[in-house]
Amino acid sequence: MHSPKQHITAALVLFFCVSEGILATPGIDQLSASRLTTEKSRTRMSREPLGFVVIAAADANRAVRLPLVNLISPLQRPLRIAQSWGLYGGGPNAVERMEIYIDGTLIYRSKDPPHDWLAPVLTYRRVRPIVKTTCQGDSRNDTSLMAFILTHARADFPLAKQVVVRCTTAEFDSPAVTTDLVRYVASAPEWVLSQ
Amino acid sequence: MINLWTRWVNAVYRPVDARPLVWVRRLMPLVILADMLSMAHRGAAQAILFDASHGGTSSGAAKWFVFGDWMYAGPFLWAVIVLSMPFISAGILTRPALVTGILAYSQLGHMDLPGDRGVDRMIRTTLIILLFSEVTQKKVPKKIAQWPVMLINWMLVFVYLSAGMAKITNTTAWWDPRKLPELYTILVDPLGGHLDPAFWYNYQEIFTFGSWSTIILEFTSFLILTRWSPYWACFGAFMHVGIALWMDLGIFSFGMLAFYPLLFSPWTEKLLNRGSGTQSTGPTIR
Repeated sequence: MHSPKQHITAALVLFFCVSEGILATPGIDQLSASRLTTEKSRTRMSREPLGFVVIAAADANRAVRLPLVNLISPLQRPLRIAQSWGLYGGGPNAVERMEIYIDGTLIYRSKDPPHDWLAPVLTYRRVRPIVKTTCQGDSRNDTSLMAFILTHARADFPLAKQVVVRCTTAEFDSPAVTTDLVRYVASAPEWVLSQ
Repeated sequence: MINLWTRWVNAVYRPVDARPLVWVRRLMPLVILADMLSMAHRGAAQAILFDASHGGTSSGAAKWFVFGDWMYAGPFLWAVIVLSMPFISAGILTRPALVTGILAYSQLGHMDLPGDRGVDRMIRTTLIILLFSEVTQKKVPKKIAQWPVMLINWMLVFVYLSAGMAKITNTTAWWDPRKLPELYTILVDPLGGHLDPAFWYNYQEIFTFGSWSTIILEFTSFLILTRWSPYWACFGAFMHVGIALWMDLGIFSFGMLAFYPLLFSPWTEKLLNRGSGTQSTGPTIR
């Protein structure tokens, strides 16, 4: 004979397991509500191998899963425990690096030990995502990252006249040949950051 | 139906050896503590613990962040986390330490949105599960109800399966040998990996094999729920050690490896018995 506490615990465990299945449905949890809603996109997908499975999954996601997700997901927010795990889908399409120059002299380059000024901070796991998205031109925090770099550069190099931060891209088989992705410049005496 | 429910309650309350879960409780807070100390040691505290208007790198907190514009919220949360984690790990005042630790850790996540990653969510979920489990008692019983183990293992299956699905739906380069192996692009990425792109470009077969192995490992993660779990965990642990060696992901690998006393069960219990010179203290997890 089980106690009421045991029944409640068992019910909560069942709720967690079912919720995990709904919130973290592998593959489906990465589909947006607007995926495959137009006739054109559905026709194109139906021509792909197993395209009908993807269409059925997108429809089921919209009709069944997402309404349940909207119901359950508020429970996760206060403690930031969102159960959706699309970790490490893929790597970059090219070799991307960040470089920092003071008056034309290179002081930092990603994975370049002789040029490692501020490297411990820029490679720290909580800062690295901002560096990465900044280099991909897709960061909401690029301005604050640049302001942080500029502040530290002026403190460590008080005679500096110009700070340049740039991100470069190169092919995997010839990583030395680079082109600029993004570039930020700040010059004395105003030290206003421009892109 | 009633019979089915009774079987479920029996399964939830099946007694298992407490020690693998105790080891998770010991290791997980140490991983967080190491991360916090690493933040200070690297000089990244200002970047993370202050908002953009006070010299930090993150602009804008989530709406659940309760400290508003208080400048020292970040350092305060850091201090609370650093103080609470050793108590959780040592099993002293475990429940109060867990409550304060979880609240502070989630508030730090609300404050530092870009830096709060999947591993942080996994660790927080686990700490919440531990909070309600018997391993937080002053004197941990030798046998505990298996439900916390069930929940953590269930979550891990979804973590690994989702990672596998994210890979094969993202690009065909994870399995197509004619393409540049996706594992290569990850490990030579200067913004995350350690390997030299030019040198390793000539050894792509290794990465093709690694890419396939990763996919196979992640899609077989349902084995965590079976008696094959410790065998699966050998390959899982190997992958996480590889990630720790060849990538700059901070605590990710160590946070994941902190779950492995559960995944290696019943080998964990056998190892602990051998270490203490005792016999089994109760039914193993599997």
